[in-house]
Amino acid sequence: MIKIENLGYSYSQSGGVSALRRIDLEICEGEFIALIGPSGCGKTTLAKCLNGILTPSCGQVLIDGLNTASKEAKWTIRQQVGIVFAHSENQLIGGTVEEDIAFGLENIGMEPSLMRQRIDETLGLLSLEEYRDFPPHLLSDGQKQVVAIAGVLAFHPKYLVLDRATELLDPGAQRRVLEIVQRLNRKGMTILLITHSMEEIFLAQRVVVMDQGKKILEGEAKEIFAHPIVEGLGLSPPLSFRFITSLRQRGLDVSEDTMMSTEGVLKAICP
Amino acid sequence: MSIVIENLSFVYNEGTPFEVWALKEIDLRIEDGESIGIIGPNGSGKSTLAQHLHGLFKPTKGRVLIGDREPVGIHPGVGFVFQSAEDQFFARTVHEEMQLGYQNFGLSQDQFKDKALEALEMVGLSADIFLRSPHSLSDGEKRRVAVAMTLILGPKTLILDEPTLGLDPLNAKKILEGTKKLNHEKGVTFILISHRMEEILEYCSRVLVMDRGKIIGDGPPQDLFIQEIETLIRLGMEPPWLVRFLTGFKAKGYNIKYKTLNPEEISKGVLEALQG
Ligand SMILES: Nc1ncnc2c1ncn2[C@@H]1O[C@H](COP(=O)(O)OP(=O)(O)OP(=O)(O)O)[C@@H](O)[C@H]1O
Ligand SMILES: Nc1ncnc2c1ncn2[C@@H]1O[C@H](COP(=O)(O)OP(=O)(O)OP(=O)(O)O)[C@@H](O)[C@H]1O
Ligand SMILES: [Mg+2]
Ligand SMILES: [Mg+2]
Repeated sequence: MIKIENLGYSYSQSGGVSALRRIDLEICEGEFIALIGPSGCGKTTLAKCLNGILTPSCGQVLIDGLNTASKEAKWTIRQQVGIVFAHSENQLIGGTVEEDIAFGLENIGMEPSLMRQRIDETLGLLSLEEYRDFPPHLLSDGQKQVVAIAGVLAFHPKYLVLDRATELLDPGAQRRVLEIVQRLNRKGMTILLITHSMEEIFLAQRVVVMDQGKKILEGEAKEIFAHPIVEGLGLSPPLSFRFITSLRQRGLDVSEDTMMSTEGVLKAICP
Repeated sequence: MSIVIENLSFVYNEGTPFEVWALKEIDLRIEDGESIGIIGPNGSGKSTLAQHLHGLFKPTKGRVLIGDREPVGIHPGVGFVFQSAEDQFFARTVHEEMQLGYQNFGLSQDQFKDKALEALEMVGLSADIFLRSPHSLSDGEKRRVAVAMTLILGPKTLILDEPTLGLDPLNAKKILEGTKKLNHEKGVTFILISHRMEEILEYCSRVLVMDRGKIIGDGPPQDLFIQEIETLIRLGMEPPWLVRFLTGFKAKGYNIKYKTLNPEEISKGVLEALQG
């Protein structure tokens, strides 16, 4: 379990302004949580506190009871919490796609045979086999980002944090990655999905809304849009959600849970 | 200032094992004042094509004519907002940053301030931002300053390469509405590369679909998204949810009329269609 207690963080460079203020949040094993909020509200800062890239200015973060502020725990925590950032694509270092993934695994001291297996598995999972021997710097930005995602998935992290990790991907690749993430979640991986896409949050069991460094709301996707404060942040529901709400208001029996698939809605309304 | 592309091909790393033909025999004509969306899978050649539209890249084969001429270097009439233009900010204030950009194009300084304020206003920023350090801005503000820096040059054609990437919905909207207004009111040609199909539908009257270096689709998005839905899905360019819904609804024998993809309007149409 991830336990965030009274977490505060201030960047010294921004004149001591708090990027995070007194955040409490618990993420249980196997949960799928979405985190949203306006640009600059502190989402990335929060993510960086989860694996010890940043050390809290106040409060604490516990990963399975291990404190991220402790030097000894850092090694274990980095292997448990995998984070993909929006622009991880410009941090690729390997001479080939395969080497790039291997590099991260070598770093945590994985033995070669297991490494082989993980690389093959991940390249297959993300349909990257044909790029195995390709230099990453010659790929398009979206293709590079898929390699970065592969690099983290190969770890088999227990907690996976995606910080706007798919936005460089084309819609098809986005959908494939999110399907993989859902599958991994069903097998027990805990997911924290940070996103600006109001459609994606319907994949999560619970949505956390932040504004100006604070957690301001928590609930199921279909509930949070009912709060006027969310609309005020410019987070309006996706058109599909508005459409289904409108069908319901007109007396049609369509569940909001069908909103990810057009087929579900068609089945519900067509005789 | 129309842009004409004839038989354009472009190759990266020619003669090496990593040779990539990023563009293959493209023909295209863009008229003055059009609003064009470019979509396509990762690596399909969208950015490479865009670089040819303002003269940064030289064709390997074929030619590009901007206003009837082959450009020599970057064409001054074409404004290009790169994906992460703000990564290159270096001045102490936004004012300085914008002024330096302006000077680089050799434009007269007298009107700088008026033009800068006008450009900032277009993207929903006020004069207060002038005095701030560009590094202290939020992502959305940075991106809007980067767009404003292009707008102040008074481009006749504006190319935006994934301008809303990474932005929250509110900031994304401010950029698109601001730039689209230029197209609407001043007839500036508007070219938008985006993976967000809703944006293409809302802001473009023509969409080009790219796949492996070729343009394989060209037409008004509201028609093309419906007619070419299978191709688009195969390429992973899923049309917006409501378009997919309407396609499925039609396949079940219901046809409804709608002017825009407004969910409330469409739900009304759906109810009427169901009731016969
Ligand atoms: N390295 C840094 N130095 C100083 N201030 C920073 C730094 N990184 C972020 N900040 C500030 O901290 C606040 C929170 O930023 P953060 O990057 O966590 O926001 P975010 O919610 O991830 O935004 P976005 O949606 O744009 O990614 C912002 O006010 C930002 O300007
Ligand atoms: N600097 C480069 N060197 C070598 N090959 C490149 C370079 N830039 C792009 N390519 C290759 O050219 C092709 C087209 O790339 P381009 O960047 O134009 O695609 P794109 O459609 O803009 O993709 P994305 O959606 O990921 O931005 C890709 O196969 C890519 O690997
Ligand atoms: Mg962030
Ligand atoms: Mg591109």
